[in-house]
Amino acid sequence: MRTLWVRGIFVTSVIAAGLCAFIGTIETGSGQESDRKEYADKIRASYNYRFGTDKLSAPGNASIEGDDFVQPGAFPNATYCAHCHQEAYHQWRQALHSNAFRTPFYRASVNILIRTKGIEYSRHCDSCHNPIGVLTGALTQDSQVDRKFDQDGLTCTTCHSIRRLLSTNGNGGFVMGIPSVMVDEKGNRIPGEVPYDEILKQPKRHSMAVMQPFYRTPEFCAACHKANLPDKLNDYKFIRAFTTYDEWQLSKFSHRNPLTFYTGDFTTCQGCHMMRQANKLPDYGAKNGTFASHSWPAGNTAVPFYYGFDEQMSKTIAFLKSGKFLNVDIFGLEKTGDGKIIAPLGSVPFVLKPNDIVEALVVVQNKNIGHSLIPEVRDLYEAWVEFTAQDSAGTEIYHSGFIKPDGMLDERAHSFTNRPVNVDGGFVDNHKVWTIHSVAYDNSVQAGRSTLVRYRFRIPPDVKGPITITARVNYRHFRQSYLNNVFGKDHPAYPVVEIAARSRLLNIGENQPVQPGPTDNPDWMRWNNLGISYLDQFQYQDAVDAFGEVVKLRPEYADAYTNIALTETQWEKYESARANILKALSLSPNNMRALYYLALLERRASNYEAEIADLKKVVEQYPQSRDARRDLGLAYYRRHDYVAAREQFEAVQGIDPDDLAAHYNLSIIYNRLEMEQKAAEQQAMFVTKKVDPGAPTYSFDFLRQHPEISIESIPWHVHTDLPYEEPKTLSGGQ
Amino acid sequence: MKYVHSALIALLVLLPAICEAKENCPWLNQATALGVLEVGTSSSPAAIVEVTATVCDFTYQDATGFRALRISVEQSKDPSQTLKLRKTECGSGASALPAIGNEAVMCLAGRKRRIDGEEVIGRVRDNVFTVRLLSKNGGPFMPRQALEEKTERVAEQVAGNLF
Repeated sequence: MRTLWVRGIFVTSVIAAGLCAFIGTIETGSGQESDRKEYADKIRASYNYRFGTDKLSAPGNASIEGDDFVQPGAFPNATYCAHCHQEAYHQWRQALHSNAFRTPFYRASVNILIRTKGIEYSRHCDSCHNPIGVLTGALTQDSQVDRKFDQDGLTCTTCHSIRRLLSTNGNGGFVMGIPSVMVDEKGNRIPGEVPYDEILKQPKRHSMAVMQPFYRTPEFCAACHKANLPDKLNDYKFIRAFTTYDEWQLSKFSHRNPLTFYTGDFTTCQGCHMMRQANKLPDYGAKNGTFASHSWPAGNTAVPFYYGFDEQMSKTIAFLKSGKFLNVDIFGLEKTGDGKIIAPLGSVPFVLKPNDIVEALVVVQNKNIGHSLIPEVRDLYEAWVEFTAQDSAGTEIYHSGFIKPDGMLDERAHSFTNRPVNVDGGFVDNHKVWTIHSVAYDNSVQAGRSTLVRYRFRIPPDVKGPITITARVNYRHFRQSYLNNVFGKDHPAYPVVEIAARSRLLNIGENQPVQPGPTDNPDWMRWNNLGISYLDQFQYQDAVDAFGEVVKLRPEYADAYTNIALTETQWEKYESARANILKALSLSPNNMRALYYLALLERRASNYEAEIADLKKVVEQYPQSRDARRDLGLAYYRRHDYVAAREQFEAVQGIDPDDLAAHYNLSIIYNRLEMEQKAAEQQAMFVTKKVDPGAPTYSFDFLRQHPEISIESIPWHVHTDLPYEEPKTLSGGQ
Repeated sequence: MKYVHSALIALLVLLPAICEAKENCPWLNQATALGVLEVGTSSSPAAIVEVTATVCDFTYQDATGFRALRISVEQSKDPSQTLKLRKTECGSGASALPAIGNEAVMCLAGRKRRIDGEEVIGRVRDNVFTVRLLSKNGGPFMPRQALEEKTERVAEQVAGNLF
């Protein structure tokens, strides 16, 4: 009987398998053709078109020539390229791009999206993390696409098949061609792999297939290093996620923005993240013994740590610790009671006594990062200031920004992160970005700017001097709570890297000036950075005073006057601002930064012709300045010159397609020009992109629930363990 | 007649499960699994897929040989202890496999009656998983190194889906 039953199962299995195959054939058409159209037909038959049939990658932006699915086999494997590009392959294998999909850190987050909303939503993330998955149609329910490509994330033939870029919207704003490693004699792309000897005979035809001039531009990186959360993803509204490209565009490195505080050499993303270095392995792509880095060193230590990629790890740490990106300055001390600032520390004498309550002013300058500190997903990364004060025996007097025994960061640390919150006022802890409705605070430091962090502590009565105070900026990839979410709590400690630090020795008693350290900024720049910090914290009088110190030290420095004028303009002290701007222009007549701010003052004074004339000059020299074009557009609009205004706002959209002012003004201008359809489009984009006026309530809910960090949402705040004391005298507003 | 009768009953019982099962392995889709088994087409009648709540079985047999992939996942209240127990099934030949789940080991499976096999036993948080790849008469389809690489690749995919 048992034999009979077993035989029955066997026959059943065979019949069932045959039936399944038959049904499968019906479901999937004729099935196994390698032709793209047949493949695409099959995918389309069961593809989830929740977001419409016009864009296969929605809610992401990745696209491919022909606007149809492509078979996974169309993408030559990285090992194919490795035959001639050993160095590139070796570097890429350990780099973030090759591991863009498979890491636990990514999967843990995208899996939540898939489980809670559906795999089709993950096309938003995978347009950049796994574009082959998107373009092969694998990201749909019950997909029957072989996912062996997952392990290669962004493989050679994803980036090197991109034929053109969409606007700088991000979210995978590229158009890929059918992967090709060679063109024929007429320049037509030959799909798929070709024999190596053919490539070696015709290397130029290989280059024509796999290289594009725009690969060397920041716009290429912008395709994925800029992201938003569209309403299709969150069923809410457009929310800006990160804007690394825009941050670069606004930095001194782009030479496109006249309004930077400092100037520098033109540098692209590739200039820092793809620096040429001597290649160790043979590679036909090397030039003069050097090869453009395909390690893309940046801040991610977690991936090399998890995979044991020692080479990538050492490159990442070396990159972070190179010392060129940040400057940490213990700028000054304030002793409670005397109201005076001892600054710049190291350049002036002072006296300290036991029992003094001291406030240390730490200025962190984002000196040479071409984007914010920290960029992109600030809810996951962690950069913070660790401040210590120790006596001569090493006894801790004060410590902020320590790592607790459970691996969590001291919640009262000053961190350069943000806090996205959901509708319940809860922190979006698991990178569930589709639930973000507001950001409780964002303490990142934009490129070229500085921030002031204050630490107050009491010198013990029995102190053994001298006291050493140290401020360091640490970085961890990722926050401990996210690592706990990914692995559970029993994971090894992930690396913490000190990016920059500065210590000062404080004698109990008299302190004399000391020689500056090798990485210290000159005193005028220290004051300037303090002024920038005060300005960003809305401390206008202090900012004017700090910039005034710059004038004393460098009276020929035009920007010092411009900085005072900028502060005074914000402070609505227009007459003084004008005097300072005119002084700046007398020192530097062709200074477009000063001229821009003069234009704003002319507008304030109703000198519209002068305003337009100034802004036109700025735009002439900086045609990609979004600020200058936006203001020029406004100036034309006020003069009812809608054609000229339209030109400026359309140019702004060419720079940043998400510019809110451009949407708003174009919606009105198009209406005035009787272009109703375009006006409606701009109006719709304005409505979805503008900040939800109700959203701050979610932030307030969060801050109310988290008093331990709510202070971080206030630009001017002090870190201390000392009990709060009511001010003895009240000033201002009395 | 009894033979046919039994077969039909079994067919009625098992067919829905088998046909539905081919798309429902939560940790690895059928196309990927059959790709690992070097099955040319996902609708090959020689490929059989069985899925339960904790196990996905993919088997393939034709004139060239037999190949099978089994994935099992169990949720454990004491995952470390469960993993420790599972590892003992590996014997002394287990080697640590970095960067698969929270932790994982690889060891030989099969090794009898001309069956070669590799097994990965690992953990993602409180889920303990096993991936076993067997090949009989694998020959050019499944040389030893390919078995190892494929098993590791599947383990990575399974772990990835468990994160």
